[in-house]
Amino acid sequence: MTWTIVRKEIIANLLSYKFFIAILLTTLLLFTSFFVLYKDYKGRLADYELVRAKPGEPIAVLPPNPLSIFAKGLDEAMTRSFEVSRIGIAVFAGQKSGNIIFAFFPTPDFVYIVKVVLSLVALLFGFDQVSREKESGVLRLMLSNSVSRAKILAGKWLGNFLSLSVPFLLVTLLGFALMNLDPGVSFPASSIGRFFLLVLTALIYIALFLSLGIFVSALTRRAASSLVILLLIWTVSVFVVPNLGTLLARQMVDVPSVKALSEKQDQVWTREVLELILESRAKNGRGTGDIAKNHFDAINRELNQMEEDYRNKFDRLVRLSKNINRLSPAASFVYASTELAGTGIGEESRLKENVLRYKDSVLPNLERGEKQAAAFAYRYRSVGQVLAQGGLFDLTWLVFFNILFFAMGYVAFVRYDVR
Amino acid sequence: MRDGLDHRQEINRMLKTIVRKELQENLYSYRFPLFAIICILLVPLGLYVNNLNYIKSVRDYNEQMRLADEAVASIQMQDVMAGKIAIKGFRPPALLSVFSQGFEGALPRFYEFTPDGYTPGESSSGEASILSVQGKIDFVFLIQMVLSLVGLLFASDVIAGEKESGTLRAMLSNSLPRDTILVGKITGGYLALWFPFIIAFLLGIVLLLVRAFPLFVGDTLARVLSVFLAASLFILIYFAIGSMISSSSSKTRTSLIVILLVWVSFQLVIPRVSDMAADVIYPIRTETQVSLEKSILAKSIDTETSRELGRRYVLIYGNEGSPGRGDKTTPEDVKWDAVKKEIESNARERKAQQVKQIDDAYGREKRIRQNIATNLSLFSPSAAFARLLADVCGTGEIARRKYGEAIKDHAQALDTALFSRAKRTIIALPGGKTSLSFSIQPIDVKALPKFTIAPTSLAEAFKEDWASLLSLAFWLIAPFAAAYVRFLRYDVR
Repeated sequence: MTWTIVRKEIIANLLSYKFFIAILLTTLLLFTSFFVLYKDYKGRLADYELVRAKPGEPIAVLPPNPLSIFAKGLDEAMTRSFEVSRIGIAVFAGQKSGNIIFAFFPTPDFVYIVKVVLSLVALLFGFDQVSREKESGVLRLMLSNSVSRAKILAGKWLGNFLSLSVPFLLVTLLGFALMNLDPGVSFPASSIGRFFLLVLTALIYIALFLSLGIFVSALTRRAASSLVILLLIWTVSVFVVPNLGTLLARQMVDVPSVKALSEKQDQVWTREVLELILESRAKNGRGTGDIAKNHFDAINRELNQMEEDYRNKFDRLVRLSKNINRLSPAASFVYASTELAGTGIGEESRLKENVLRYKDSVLPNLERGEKQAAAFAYRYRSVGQVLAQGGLFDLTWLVFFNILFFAMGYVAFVRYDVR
Repeated sequence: MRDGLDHRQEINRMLKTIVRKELQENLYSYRFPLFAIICILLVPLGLYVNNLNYIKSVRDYNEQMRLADEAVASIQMQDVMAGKIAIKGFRPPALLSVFSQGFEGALPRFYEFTPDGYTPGESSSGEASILSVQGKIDFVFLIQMVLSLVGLLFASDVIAGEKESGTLRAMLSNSLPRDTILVGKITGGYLALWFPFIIAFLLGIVLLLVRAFPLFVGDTLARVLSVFLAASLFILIYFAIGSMISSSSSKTRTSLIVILLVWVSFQLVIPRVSDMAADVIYPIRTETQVSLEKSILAKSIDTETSRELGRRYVLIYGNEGSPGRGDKTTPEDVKWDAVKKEIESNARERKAQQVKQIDDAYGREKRIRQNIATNLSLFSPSAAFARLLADVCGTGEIARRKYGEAIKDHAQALDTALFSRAKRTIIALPGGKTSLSFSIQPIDVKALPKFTIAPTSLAEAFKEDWASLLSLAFWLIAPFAAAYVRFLRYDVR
């Protein structure tokens, strides 16, 4: 019986113009996005060939990440060039897409389209599941058969999920396959696994909104009111909560500004240099080399300390804002998918740590006046590490939302007055 | 005559009744409080967050300016001679980025000027970019994404809902022209949207004033008013589009689905597709590639010059001539100085000219491509709105262009005031040897040109954005006309 309902749902969807338009729209958007970001990636790759470190240069630049075609995340920040010198690390714009329009509207990557458009499409599939059939009287007929409400609901969910996810999967996989045909874009073997995990995350996210749609539909008597309520929930969870968390976190954790940092650095310099002058005067210029070295080491130590302090505070801010944002499944989805693609916040801060370590390893050579510096190497975290460091939590959290909404939908449907 | 007058009064009275009824209906509906809460929460919140960001970036900007000034003040002659000097020009944060972020986070915060040209620094601070992984939320975005959707939703059942419940028939049984009903319903519905919006906007302004936002300095007030008017107009546009759809469909559910699809196309599809189309029609190189091309050109001209110098040097002094100069100036020295000066000034001119050619050509390419993308995207009222407001707030296309122009001017000014004063002359002798000599003119570090960007007046912004204004006007008038025509033919049964 469940399969009959699944089949009925799929056929009903296939025949409806809503399905046709929604699929057309999704296909168009996804292909546009793949195309635009693919070109963007190629452009940045060409840029990388120009700005990459020549052998022996103390510069850390990463090539653009091919998975940034799907989840751009912080890839632009990660591919900046970090030039190590005795004064510190100078950061320059690395590979820039000439595509300034991205600045105006959010980058239309796969993650964004799933987060905003496909969630909306899923709501569109779910919003009238119960109330429409009640309005047309089909629900009564259906329940006059010996079929449980749970089976009806499961059938409806499955039917709609299939008719939503199959075209989506086809388009996505086709796009990915086409990109693999280009020898210029080489997806390493590990990134193919990551890509499939990314798609899986997207499916879980879409399923969640479908369950939410069915749940609200089972709460309301009219399809129109169910859609309005759903749209408001959608607005709040996609646009509002993800920004609210950052705001709240900023109020709670105080990160010093560049000004405060540089003032403190100035103070350290002045103090140490003054002491150096006084001490070398007292010693009448004997053994000043050692004293100078001590003082410069002290400066270095304190500046490093300050840097670390700043990073700790900043990490706290990021962690807090992440946790608050996770109240919304959309935020959780963005975190999970960007981390899986290797363009997330965790990966970025790990890269920065590696650059700092690289600086420490290269600096002694530079100070000795050697011209050759070891090349910078960076390995992205493995999928296992990503999952262990928060990825799994986000995925579980999304699954939890799924189960929660489906269960609530079941309860609401069991109590639904079908007359 | 009297009858006509009475009739008009009657219609006016009816119109008022309809507006009032529409307002009340909306006020008592369950969606109104939801909308009001979202509006009153989001708009002040967005302004507040962006104001915090702005204050922070001003603090950072001031500090970096101070550091840069110190660096300039401590310029050493030998650094200038070694060509190691890099001077930074910073872009001040735009005050009204509080309302519209536009290009604010995407443009480089500074450019570095060196004797070889200029390179862009990092764009936004790393901190801001990390926290923005969830997307940015500014006033314009809220209006553009959220309030447009709410406007459409409120309009979705303007006609179809009334038909479904049967009240439309009852209403039309009065002696009432259909256009009056339509105008009354749109006015009432729009007012119900507009009141929460204006309250939210005023709250946001109060919040900004508490945080010492200089609203009454210069033309800020005029700009904020323009933002407010444009936003009000924008909501009306979407309400009109919604009414058009509602009066074209007989069921609210259908009109809701159509509305969502229209919304997605306007917000997401059209801006993207136009971007892609511009990319296909007119592909261009990236900035890094162009700057590399320039530096290759500069280097090749430099090598050529030093070869030429070497050739002439041998001609004058002979193969054995020592570059060291005695106390006495020989006639050869005078001749050499003249030759050297001529070759070098020629080379400099040639370099400047060719670099300028590359820059101009690239600038032209970028402009053409940008124009294609912009004009295509103007089919969507949302894109037109976002572009117009970004320019009004000084974070849009005009600001970007002026930044670029200022960079070029500053590079030239620095070249005459600083870089060209320290000349390194490399002479590549035919035998393969090279010799290096320096000549330096005095440099007044204090009188170095300051980096400034020409301000944009509000009138200029409106003049430049005539196409956006046109698009908005079209999307205001066309849906009204279409809604009117459709409603006249509407089957109310």
